[in-house]
Amino acid sequence: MMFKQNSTSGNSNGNGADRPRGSGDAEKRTQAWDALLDFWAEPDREELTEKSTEEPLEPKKTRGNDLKNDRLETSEGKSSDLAQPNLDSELDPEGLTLGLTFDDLEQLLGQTPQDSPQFDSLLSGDRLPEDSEEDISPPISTWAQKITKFQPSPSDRTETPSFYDDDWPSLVDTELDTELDTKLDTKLDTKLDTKLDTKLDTKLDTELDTELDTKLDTKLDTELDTELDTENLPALFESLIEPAVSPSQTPQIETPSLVEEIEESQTIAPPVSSSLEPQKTPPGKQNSATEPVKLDNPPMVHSTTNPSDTNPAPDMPVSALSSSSPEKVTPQTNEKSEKSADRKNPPPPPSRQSKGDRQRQNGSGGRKTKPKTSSPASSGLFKPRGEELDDPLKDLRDFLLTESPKLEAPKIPEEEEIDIPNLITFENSLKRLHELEQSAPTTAKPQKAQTQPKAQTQPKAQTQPKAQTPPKSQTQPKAQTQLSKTKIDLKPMLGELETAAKSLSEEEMMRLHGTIEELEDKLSALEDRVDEPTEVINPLVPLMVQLLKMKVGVSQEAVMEVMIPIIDEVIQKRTQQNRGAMSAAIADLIPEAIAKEIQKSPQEIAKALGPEMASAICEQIKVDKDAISAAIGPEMGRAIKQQIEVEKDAMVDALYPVIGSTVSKYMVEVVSAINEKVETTLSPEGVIRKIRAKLQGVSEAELILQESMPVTVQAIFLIHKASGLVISEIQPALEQRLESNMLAGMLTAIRSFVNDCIAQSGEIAELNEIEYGDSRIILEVAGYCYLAVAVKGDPPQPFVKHLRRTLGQIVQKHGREMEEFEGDSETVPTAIPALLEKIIPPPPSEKKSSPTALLSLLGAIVLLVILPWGYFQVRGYLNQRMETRIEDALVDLEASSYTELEPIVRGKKVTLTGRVPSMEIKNNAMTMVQGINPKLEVDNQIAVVQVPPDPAWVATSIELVTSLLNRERDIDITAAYSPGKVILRGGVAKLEDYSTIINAFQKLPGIDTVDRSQLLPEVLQKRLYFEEASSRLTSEEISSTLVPIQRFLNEYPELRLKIIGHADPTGQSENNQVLSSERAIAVRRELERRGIGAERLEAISVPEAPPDVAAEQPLKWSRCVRFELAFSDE
Amino acid sequence: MGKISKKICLIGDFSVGKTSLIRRFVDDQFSDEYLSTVGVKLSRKVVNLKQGEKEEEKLVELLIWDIEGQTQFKSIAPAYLQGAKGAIIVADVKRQETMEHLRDHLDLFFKINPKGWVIIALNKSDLISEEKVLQLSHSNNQFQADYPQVIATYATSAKTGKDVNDLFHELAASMLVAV
Repeated sequence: MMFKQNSTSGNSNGNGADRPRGSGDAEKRTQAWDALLDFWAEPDREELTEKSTEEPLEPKKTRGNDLKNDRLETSEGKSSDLAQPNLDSELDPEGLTLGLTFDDLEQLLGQTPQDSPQFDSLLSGDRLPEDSEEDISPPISTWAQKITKFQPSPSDRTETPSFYDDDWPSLVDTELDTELDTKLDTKLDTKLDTKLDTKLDTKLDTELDTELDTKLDTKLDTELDTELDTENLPALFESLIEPAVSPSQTPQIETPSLVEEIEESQTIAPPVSSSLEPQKTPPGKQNSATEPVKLDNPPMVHSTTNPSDTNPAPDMPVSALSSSSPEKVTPQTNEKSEKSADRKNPPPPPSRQSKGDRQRQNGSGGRKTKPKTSSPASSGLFKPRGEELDDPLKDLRDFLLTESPKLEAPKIPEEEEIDIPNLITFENSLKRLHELEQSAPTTAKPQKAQTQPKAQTQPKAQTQPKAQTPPKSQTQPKAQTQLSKTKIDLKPMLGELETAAKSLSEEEMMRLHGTIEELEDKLSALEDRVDEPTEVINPLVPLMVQLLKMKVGVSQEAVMEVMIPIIDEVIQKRTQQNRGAMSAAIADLIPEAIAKEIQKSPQEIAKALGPEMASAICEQIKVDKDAISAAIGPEMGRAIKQQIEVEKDAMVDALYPVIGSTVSKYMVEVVSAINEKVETTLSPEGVIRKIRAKLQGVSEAELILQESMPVTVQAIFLIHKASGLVISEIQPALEQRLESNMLAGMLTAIRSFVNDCIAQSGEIAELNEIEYGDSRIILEVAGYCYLAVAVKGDPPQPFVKHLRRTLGQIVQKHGREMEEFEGDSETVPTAIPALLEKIIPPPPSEKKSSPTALLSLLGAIVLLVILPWGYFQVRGYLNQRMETRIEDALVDLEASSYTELEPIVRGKKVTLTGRVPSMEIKNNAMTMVQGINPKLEVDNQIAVVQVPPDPAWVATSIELVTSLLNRERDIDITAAYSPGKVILRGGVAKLEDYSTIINAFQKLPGIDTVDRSQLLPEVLQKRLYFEEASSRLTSEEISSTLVPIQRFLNEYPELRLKIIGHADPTGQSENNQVLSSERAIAVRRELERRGIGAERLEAISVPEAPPDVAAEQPLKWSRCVRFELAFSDE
Repeated sequence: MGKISKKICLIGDFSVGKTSLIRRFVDDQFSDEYLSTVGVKLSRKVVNLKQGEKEEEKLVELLIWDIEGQTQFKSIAPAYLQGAKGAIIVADVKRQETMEHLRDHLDLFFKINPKGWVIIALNKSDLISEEKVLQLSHSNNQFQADYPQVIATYATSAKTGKDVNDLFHELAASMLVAV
């Protein structure tokens, strides 16, 4: 249905002249239809109907699909079954298209005899005499042209492969093959076909190859389509025509093989091409990306231009051409010929199959291609279809020659749609032609005859090409093979031909010759006619795609080779023209392509992307700051961890400047400070700290920490409160000086800000401190100025107090200057800096009581202990040694001493102790010690001890002495002995004896004292007795007792006298005391009165009885005074 | 010779170019970016007031208080003006209202610093024609009459640097003289 509509509309729109004719000449149409019916083979008709009625007749289509291989049978069967009804039912649409075709056909029939006689002769061979055949045969060529002309719509720009898979030549080919009864005919046809095909195909192919590029371009560039088509296609076709025209210039050839002809035609083309070239080149130059390829690559151009001079020799040019022509050219021609051979060679079945394909695709593929077939060029080509062919072609040619840049794009769709039916009709008509040939056996003969010479020359022809090919074979092996292939195909036929030729008479031969000549004339004429570029182009147009496809199928490499050099340029050009479209086209593929490439060679991709990675990230950061960090962020930790695992040192090095210099340094400081504190734990400070910790209730560690962070005053500023200008400043020489006025100003601003904004209204609050890290700025505010002290560490309370005191002093003393300060430092009293200076606490003295000091102290103590001890030890040892020696020396003396003699050595001093009986031994001991070491100082403390004599022995000796003394006359003494004492009693007449007696007893050993008080001279032995309780002396007693005493004392004036008064124990003791005393005094007085010096008399009272008077003796003996001599030594 | 330091303030409405003037004066730079000053920004520059070869060097350290501009909602904090010996009151020649506010700023400044010196800067003078500039500075001369301590009125441009240095130098010189 679509076809119908389209066709009608296409006629009406695309070609106004066409339509009226189509509809108006209904009669003509029917006539043509009848004629067609007569001539047309069933299958073709069936095909036509099938195609035209494809949509409504679905099953058929499927059947066609199913029975590809058996297409002939099925189609025939179908035709018998269905063709007729279909025809009837679909007559209207069919009729129209068919009618149109036949109109054309008839027109052509009328025209072509003059226009293209060559084809007649060529195709129908000897059929010329027969009118009917003659009528029909010419159209074959034109039809062929027309078919191709009207087919272009799909072929022009459709990629749809199937529709023209087997383009019409092969179709016709196969159709003819199958339908020709006689082998001759078949052979002829095939030959003709092959020739025609090869001719057309090779040329077409070459052109198509070049066209392929254009096609590709056009596909790539849909926008350029129209321009390209209009501009390039004509040119292309012109170039295509060149070879086609060439045969006309080889009239003299005697029985040349068609192959040769074809080859010649390739060579002889130049004139046209050369004439056309200038026209082509401009666009080629303009569009270097697309068109130059066309121009450069087509072998024809090159090959033709080169051998153009060698025209005269038809055989030679080929070789010359092949040999001389650039190598680049030959492969392509090879391929072309090969392709044509391929196309020809395939036996009927494949072609049938392909026919089936085509059939099937006519419906589906054809329709599909419809929208795509919209080229002005094609439309331009189609234009002439309905009209006189010449006119439009001329127009076209004119147009092409004049290079009119663009054709008005006509209503393409309609026309193109017409094309399909047209194509069909033309195909059919072609087939009918063959049938005609079939039906006319006579035609076969002339053909035979025609071929006979060929057959005769065939070996030659075969060999010729071969002979020629050797040079060619180097460059054109494929051409050779193609030829050989055709040869092979032809062989059986040739055999038959030969047999047929034998049967031919000479006349016939002659006639054949004539016919051939005629044929050639016609051919040349036709070629002249074909000279019109469009005429040749048109048939070629629809083939292009097929050819292309075939070409691709057959020799992909060649196509690739053709395309490769320009494909990048093509893409580039396209990119220049329309970036958007190009990127859109490629965009889809890029991710996948990259993925593939990454899979294939990740290194390459990495290399390619690597250099741009950084800038890409930078760019992304510019676009979206957070994106990259968000992407990398979560991995950061792991990355660092990984890096640490991989190379710890690098990380340490990287971080060291940051962490190392801050944390570690700080920690080291703190720890060392703490260490120090711990070291001094037992120091007085430590003890004090312990006590402080107890008192303040904080831990000792806290105190240690506090102490280990020393307070350093970094700066002191005295700042004018209102203006914030620095009045005075103290900055200890630290590494970093603070910008005093800036800092002061900022502090002032902050103060103001705090006062304004933070402090509650009505309240006066002050900013006291700004803390930053471990430093702080202490602010002490007075009336017109304030003190700002930057302190590192926690300032102790005394420091702050000192601060306040200082500020107080400053304000008190210099308040006025403070108030009036206006930024001039000269107005500041010099006392202020001095005061401020005092605030800074003296740097803590470096009292590093290091452990070495402690140790040395300990060592000293130990030394102090050990050295004396050692000294004494040594000395003691030495002393003892000396003592031992001395003791040994003194052993000799021990026998004569009472105790052991002990030497005590103290260095040089030796003390000797012990007791010896005599001085002699003592001195001996000393001498002995000094004999050991003369330097020794000897302290001889040895005591010389007298042992008390035996009392008995003493008493004996006393008795002995007493008796010896008593032998004297004047001596009468007794001696009483108590240990150590001798009491002498008695009297001596002469005082001289007295001392003798005492000396005698004193010399006795064992007598320490000699009691001589009772040893008295006679005069003194008398006692004076008194009456009871009286102290009065009687005159008798005085004269009898006292006078002798008086004389004795006068005689010995040196003697002194003791006068001892006694009393009896009766009476009171006091009275006795007085009595005894009075009695002694009375005696002394009497003696003094008698002239004795008082100093010689001593009165002593003893208020008891005298020692020699016992108690039982008479009391009178006790009331007495007795005398004793007083010795000065007592 | 002892160092002399003086505090000067820049007062004016927001976005009249106070900070830009200071930036031009101190760093000799200019930027088109507008960054609103928050609170106070301090700058410092030592100015040499030596005039001629023979004269002794006269160094004055200027402590320039760039005070947050007055806006509709926030007036200038008087505390910041305290102790200022001089002030530059800035207006934007392109914004009439900023010039109308000049008098308010003058009053505020003299109220706090009766002995201060003031120079009026009509900033952004590069944005208007020269005639207009002349006209404007002329019309603002009345301040000098009304306030004896208003030294001068300058049409400045922080962008081109026009009169900026002169402005500061003149103010610095004036401040050394007691009122």
